[in-house]
Amino acid sequence: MIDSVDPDRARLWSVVAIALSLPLLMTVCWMLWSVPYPLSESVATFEVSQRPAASFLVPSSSYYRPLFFMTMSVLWHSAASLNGALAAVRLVHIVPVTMLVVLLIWHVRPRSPVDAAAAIVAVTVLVGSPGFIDNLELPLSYTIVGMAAALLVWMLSERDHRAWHGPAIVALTLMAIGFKEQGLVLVPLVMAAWWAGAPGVGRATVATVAGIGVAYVVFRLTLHDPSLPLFEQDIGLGFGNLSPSEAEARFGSFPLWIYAYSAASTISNVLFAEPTGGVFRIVRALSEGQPLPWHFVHLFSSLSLTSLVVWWGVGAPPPAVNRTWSPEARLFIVTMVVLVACGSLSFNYSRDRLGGMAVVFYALAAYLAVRAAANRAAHAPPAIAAVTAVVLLMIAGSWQFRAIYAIEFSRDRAVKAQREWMTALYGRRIEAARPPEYLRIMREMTEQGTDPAANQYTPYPRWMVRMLGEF
Amino acid sequence: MAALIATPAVVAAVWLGGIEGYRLVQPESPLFRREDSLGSLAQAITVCCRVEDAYAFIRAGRDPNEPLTIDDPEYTGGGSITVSPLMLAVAAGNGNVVMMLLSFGAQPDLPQNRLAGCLARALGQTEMATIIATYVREDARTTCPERSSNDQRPLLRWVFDEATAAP
Repeated sequence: MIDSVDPDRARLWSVVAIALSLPLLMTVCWMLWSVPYPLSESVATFEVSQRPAASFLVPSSSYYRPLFFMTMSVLWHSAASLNGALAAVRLVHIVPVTMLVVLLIWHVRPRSPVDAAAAIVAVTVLVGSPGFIDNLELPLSYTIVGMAAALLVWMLSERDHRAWHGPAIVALTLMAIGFKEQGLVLVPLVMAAWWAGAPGVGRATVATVAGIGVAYVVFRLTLHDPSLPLFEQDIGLGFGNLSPSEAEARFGSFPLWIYAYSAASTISNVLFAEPTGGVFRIVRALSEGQPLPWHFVHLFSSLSLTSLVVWWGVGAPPPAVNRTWSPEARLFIVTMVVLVACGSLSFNYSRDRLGGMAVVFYALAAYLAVRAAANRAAHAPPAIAAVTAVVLLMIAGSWQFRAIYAIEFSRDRAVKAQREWMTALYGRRIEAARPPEYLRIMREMTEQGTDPAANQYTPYPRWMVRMLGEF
Repeated sequence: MAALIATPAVVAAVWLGGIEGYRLVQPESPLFRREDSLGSLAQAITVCCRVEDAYAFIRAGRDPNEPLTIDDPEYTGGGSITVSPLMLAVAAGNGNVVMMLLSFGAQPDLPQNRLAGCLARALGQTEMATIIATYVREDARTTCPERSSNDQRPLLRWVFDEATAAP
């Protein structure tokens, strides 16, 4: 728990916070339930899932996600029908999303109107962050599962120690790593939490988690294929992109600088909404004199909130004599550690989704920062209180816009996915080396991909669309 | 203070609850449709650029190879002509509809579609011409005939002419 709370008051204001977050959460979940699976990502994923589950334990590419593919394989083979399998896979996305919102509110346990308001802002920060939005793409649930695991680990760390905490934390860490490499973030998370005196983490747990991290890295390095390209995907740099071959030609002899740039880009995207995938789109638009309203919404919301978080974090109580930090200071430290870890793991290329694990802690920090500012303003002179109130209102409002953007961006992505189903089928059919199983799955999924009822836009006025974001 | 901070969330909750609830109850409401339904596949191909509108006709059972009649002066010069949907989509420069028709049963080998690649090339749509050519069987490839007409409307120059097309 972040603070000790009166159970009845916590329950009341928790219910209020959940109730006000419910429409947003339910809309996101309904959208995940109803939008079509994209042709590009899903057919290949389900085709790979036809392999025996044990085969995923051996790395066969630079990406290693055994638990994700084993989950897909189990769901695919155990379903009575294609629709049943697709529904089950949707749940692998919907359940973690729901857990993230509900557990976040449960963890912070708002006990006053200010707490509830801050919790609601935290939910909009979580949902409206690029690291969350970019992880809503079906069926690629690996990071969203890891995000829920990270939150659970943090919750366990902050509670009084129980014998089962250790095994639970280890299991969640293994699950997160098994779903995607970003799960490695849980290793420094647990270590930092322990170092800062988190009551729920014991020495044995830290040692085990650290050992898992080391073993995983050794395992991957041992089986690393040196013939793989230096850069897996396009690299964003400045105002443009470099293809993998261009990046290798330019940085191949000394890639550390571009690695550092990509890592810093992921961190910066979480904190400042720029760059995206290593590209400074908003800055480019501003420098070219072509700003759009959403540029200002995104920049203001991130810059102001990050400033608030820094103000709150720097002002957190210093450690006690026995090195135990306050819960608030601990969260601030862990947030920074997770940010650096996310950045480090995205050294090869930067994408919004790679900051997903840090978004959870950014949202938690947002809760405490907003709450601290509101409580401080309540005791400040009227002028300062009024200014603080207006700023907090603007922060809350701008992040609410971004949360709605999460929904509409996902709808827009679904429209594009549907168009791909309508236009790319024949090309896929005649492409060389498409296995029969791929073609069969594609054929069977065509109906869900082209169902016109699956996509409906929302009639926002044009001025609002221009404030939401890029489509 | 709390009420002020929570105001955007309250407004959003009411809005989302209302609009999404209405969407669940009335999914066919005009509120959620971009335009009115189009009357024909020809209109969907030429008037509007959204492949979804053209696909709706194919999904409803329209044969993608069955010729349609178009009387848009921009394409016909005032009268009406009968062309295949594929030819019309090429003339309209609607690459997405071309791909959709090919994905859902349009056969470039058929007589009514055989000159689609020629039309695309004449319009400078080399990528579209290449894609169409890829889908044509080796033994069904057509040499693009010389057109004697100087009509400014490409579709009129390339509507299938049994007498002039070379095998």
